[in-house]
Amino acid sequence: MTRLGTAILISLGAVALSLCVVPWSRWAVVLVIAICIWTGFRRSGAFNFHWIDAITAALTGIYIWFATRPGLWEWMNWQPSRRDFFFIWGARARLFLDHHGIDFHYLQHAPNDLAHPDYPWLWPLTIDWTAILFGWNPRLAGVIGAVFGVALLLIVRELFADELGNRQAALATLSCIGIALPLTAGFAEAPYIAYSASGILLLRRRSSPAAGLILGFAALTKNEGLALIVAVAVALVLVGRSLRPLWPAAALAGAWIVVRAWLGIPTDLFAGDVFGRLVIHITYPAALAQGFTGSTMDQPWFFLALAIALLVAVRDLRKERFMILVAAMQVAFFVAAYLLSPLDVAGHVVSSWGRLQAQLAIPLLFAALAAGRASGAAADLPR
Amino acid sequence: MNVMRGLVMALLVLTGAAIPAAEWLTAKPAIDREHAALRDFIVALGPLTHPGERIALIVPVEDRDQDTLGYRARYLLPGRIIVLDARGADAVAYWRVPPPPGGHRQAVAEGTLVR
Repeated sequence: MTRLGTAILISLGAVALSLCVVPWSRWAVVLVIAICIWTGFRRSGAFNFHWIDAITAALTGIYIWFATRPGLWEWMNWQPSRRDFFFIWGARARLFLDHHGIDFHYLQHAPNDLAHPDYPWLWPLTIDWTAILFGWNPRLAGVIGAVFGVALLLIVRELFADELGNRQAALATLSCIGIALPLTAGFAEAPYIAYSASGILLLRRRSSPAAGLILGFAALTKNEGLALIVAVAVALVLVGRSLRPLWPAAALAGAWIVVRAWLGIPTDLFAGDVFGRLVIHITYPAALAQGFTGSTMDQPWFFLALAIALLVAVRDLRKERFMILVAAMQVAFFVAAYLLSPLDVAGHVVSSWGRLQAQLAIPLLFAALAAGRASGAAADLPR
Repeated sequence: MNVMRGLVMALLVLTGAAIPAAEWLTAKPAIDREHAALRDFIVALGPLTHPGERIALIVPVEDRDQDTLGYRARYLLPGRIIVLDARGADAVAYWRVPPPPGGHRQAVAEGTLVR
């Protein structure tokens, strides 16, 4: 299951990345997909199915129904809550598709405050290879987003089973579904959550280059992925582990930074008077505080439950210090980004904080449940 | 402790699976009726353009935010809309995109196509 989920994630990223070099034709995409299937998919280990997994599968079906509702992709009806798809991710995918490649001219000339040309390309390119195969249909973005979520659920299912036993693992995986399959269908959240959470979880116990590659894809999906690689590297050092598995992540992230610099696309966080903004936001923190108090979580009740789970396991969380360190550093990077923000800080926090928290939810949930399992009374958990 | 962990797991399943599933089933759009006419106008522009041709859309300077007509137009007709902000006689290219060879046609938001 872990192997299958990993192969799906790597294949999705590799096919999208191949569009940077191969012709934008159906045959080229089919060939790349065939190569990915041939090289990446091996026989997975036996899956110990539990009837609770059927509920997870059924809910995934409901999500796909939701994510492919025709009206959901009608910009006029859903614009206020789905702006990021229509004006950033979907618009860019369609622009690239019309251009039969990455439209560097557009990226170099569109103003950052509206079009965010510094946002990575992997998600629009993922939408594009589905469009090359099946024609332009935004609903495919909903389907492919669900595939990302399913890959993540396959990975967490087996990793939970290693820690909790089969029934608890099935329940824990079920509880991840709202995060793995977010309401923001078509945004880059689903692929980013799949890449980032999988990368962190796969590195939790083992030094896997596949995890490094997946973290590299996270950096090519959203800019938070760049900070995540740094957070993971620091956490690995702090827990006394080798940085070697991160080389694919460093290579991909480095390539992205070089390409972005070569094209002259600065990220708006580092444009203009960065130090001046930092000083102002630290000196007058009221705007930042106003943003945090005014922001809404995507899944508030789930985060309350997660906080309770972390509290219950708090004595044993040190056993999961790698993931706790990664999460803590990511939060610190988020706050640092807000301090450097060239936008209205309160508005920036309100519009993004809820989604950013979701990126860390599954690693934190895993840490809470695995640490709780590791406590003295763990043996009495029903399997 | 076992009971506590069972309760936590039940809470996690309720909030992490049941509530999101209810949201998927009940999600409703926030209809943006004020822009319905605008959408129709932009869609109507589609057949007027030829593949590879670009049209320029003039929007007032004060509309330069995420909700502008031009920004929406880019989703509907990507690569075929250039948004200009009209600052008097010399409209400044909003996206700083130079006109394609042979110049471009201009359209104004009210629906008049200006060649």
